[in-house]
Amino acid sequence: MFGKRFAVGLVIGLVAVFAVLLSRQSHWNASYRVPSYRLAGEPSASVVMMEFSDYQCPSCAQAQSIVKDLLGRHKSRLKVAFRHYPLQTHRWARLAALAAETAGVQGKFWEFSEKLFETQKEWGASDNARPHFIRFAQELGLDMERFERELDSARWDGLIQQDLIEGVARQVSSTPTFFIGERRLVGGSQLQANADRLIELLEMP
Amino acid sequence: VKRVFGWILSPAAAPYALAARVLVGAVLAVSGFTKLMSPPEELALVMESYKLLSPSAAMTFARILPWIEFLGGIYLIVGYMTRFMAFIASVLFMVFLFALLSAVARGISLEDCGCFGRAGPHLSPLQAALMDMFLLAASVFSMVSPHRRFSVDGSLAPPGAKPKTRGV
Repeated sequence: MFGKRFAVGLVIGLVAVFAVLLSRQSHWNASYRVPSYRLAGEPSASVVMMEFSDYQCPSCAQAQSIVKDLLGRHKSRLKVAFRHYPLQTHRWARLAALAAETAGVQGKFWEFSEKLFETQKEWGASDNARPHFIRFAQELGLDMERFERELDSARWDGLIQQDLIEGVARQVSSTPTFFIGERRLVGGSQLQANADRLIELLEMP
Repeated sequence: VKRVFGWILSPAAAPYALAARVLVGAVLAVSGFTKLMSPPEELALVMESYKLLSPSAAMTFARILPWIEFLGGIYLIVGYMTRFMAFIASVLFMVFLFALLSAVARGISLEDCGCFGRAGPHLSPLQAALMDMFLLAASVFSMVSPHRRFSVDGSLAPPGAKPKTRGV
């Protein structure tokens, strides 16, 4: 009786487990292609950390100091690739990503990103974020005619869309989400707790 | 109390016992399944927001909890080891309630309870607490009820067992 009972339970459990394993999405094809201006750190570094971020997300702004510390601690072995993942719930996130991209093609991606994160509360709560982005571009000494033209025509929106597609394929649903190798880390606390160990592991010959 | 237990043991309670068991099982199975379809790191992030676990402990629980929910839910739906599975479900709902109420008491603002993972329906802490209380009552009812209609337990019961505990 006990044997039959155990066997029935085992069969039900195994069917359920297989159903889950079959339903799970397959792995993505790792692609680290981002425009070169979106890479920070040593170009020859062997470990790539990919960051899917949203300029209007407070956790993303908080995580920037952790990313900076990591880059400082692992100078020669880590580089960071920034990927846009503007969430639909954040009104100005996509325009901010577009502005950063537009600044990026003029060589000021990281400086512009820093301004966006630092002043997030200011422009995030405004009725129109565009004047803020124009001001940042002026402060950074960008070619304003080109910046405004490319921002208004959404010239580089395709690059953001590409990031979003890859983010969806990687099942990104929260920002910031980091990938160090194949390992996913969601949020600043997971990054802080695991990044050093993962970087060292990937560095091992 | 005597009357309540009398009713629980009476044949009149059998359809309610079946409904309670399937409902608790379905909620657990769906909740576990939606979590299993998302990366565990997402669930770990939600767990971290309760500020009860360290990031590494949250990660460990995020890997284990969805499987307990999913398999427990499936076993409850089919009525396998009903009493034990209903006990597990009761413990889970008590833990969820404790986590929710303690977060509210500590003034932690939770955007989403994380009950169904990131992909599932998003419930506020109050909605989640009410749901957990209801499901806790239903799982305790399933645990104490002797009725095993449409269940593996009932089908596997020996022919001489009490009629009300056997499959229909």
